Amino acid sequence: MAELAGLTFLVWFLVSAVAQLPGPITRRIRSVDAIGVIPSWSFFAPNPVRTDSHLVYRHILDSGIVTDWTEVFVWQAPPTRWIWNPDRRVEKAISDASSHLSWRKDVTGVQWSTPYLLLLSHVSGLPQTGAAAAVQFALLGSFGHQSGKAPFVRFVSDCHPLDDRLGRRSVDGTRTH
Amino acid sequence: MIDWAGDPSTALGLTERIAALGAMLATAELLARPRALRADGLLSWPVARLRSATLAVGPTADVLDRLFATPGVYVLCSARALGAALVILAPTGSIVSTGGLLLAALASLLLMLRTSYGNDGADQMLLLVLVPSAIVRMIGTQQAIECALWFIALQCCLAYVTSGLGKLGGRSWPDGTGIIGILNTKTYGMRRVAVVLEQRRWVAVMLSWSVILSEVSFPLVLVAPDPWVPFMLAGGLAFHVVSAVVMGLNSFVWAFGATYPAIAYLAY
Repeated sequence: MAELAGLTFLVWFLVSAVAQLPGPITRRIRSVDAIGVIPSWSFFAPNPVRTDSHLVYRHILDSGIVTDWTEVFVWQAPPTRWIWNPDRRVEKAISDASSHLSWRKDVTGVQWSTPYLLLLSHVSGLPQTGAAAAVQFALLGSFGHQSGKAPFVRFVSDCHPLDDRLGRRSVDGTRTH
Repeated sequence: MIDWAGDPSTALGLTERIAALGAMLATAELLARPRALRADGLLSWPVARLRSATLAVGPTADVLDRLFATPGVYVLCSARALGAALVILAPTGSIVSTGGLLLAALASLLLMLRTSYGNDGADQMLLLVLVPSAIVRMIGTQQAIECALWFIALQCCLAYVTSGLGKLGGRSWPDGTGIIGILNTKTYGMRRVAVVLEQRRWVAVMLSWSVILSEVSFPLVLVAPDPWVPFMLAGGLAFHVVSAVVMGLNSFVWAFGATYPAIAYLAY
């Protein structure tokens, strides 16, 4: 049994090592690794992230009024984050979705991708101001503590109806059928 | 020679306990934000399952749905915390400790399967420690335990070397602008440190190169003379503690710290 375990660990390590190299083999390995047992050890390499990600949303009300953009999660780094940092995962989820959607924004069918549906599902469940007919989200980037640089838009979603009873409603409030 | 580093079971026991502390912290942080785990949360299962047909429909999906949707995921998190607690409290290598290890490893695997969103390198390393540890504890032989120690130590070395070489390949790490950029973010940065580095670029360049060289050369710990080993491991641990304070990467202290007893055992 020890030999079998040793062989398993050896193969596991070798596949892990190969998967650190970019290329089709790594893509194939990652496509079959649903759990994530093959690690990715890039850690802010080759070029680290220099911007913060922000998820914002707005509603299109029944009246046709479009609300202001509201940020979903405002990151506040608490002084205790060196030992207790539960918001890290939420921020990382937004950051993950943002990086995936940034390079897929022109791809056909991006609305069916997991990050798109994840963010759409989330903003669809957020509190509404008034009777909202549709919701739209966007991903922004900002340069952190450098207040001199303006935030920029990474991705803007379509507008999505929030209630079936409204039918296929277009953004300007007119029904399409 | 450090006493605990001379016995593979004791070394692995320390690795397991540190990893278990990391797993408890990760679980507590997950449970502290229950809204994120809901169907419309940012760590949503109903959306994450859509990435694969096997996860979305069929008998496997039905079973996973019970486990991964709320409130099942709370039970899963609690199971991992319970398993981790047993590893910490029970004698190393005992049936209770091995059972706890199995529970923590299995729950960690399932939580990783549930969604990849929000996970990071610390979650991956915890998995790479807990799973082989659980396997070899069930086998129970010294030879198997040594295999797990090698695997854990080599994964840690691979992580550092990959990260170091990757930084060398980028333009912004060698010239110091990358480290200034990341420390300028609100997510991973600290304003005071970023300002200091911005004003003294040479410090940023030195810091970048010290990170790169430390990461790339880390595997030398396995062949370094005995007296050097504690200093090299202390340097690695200090790196993670500083990363926790400055960048908020608190879970890496536990996940990577867990691999150090394995490395120490093999280094001596």
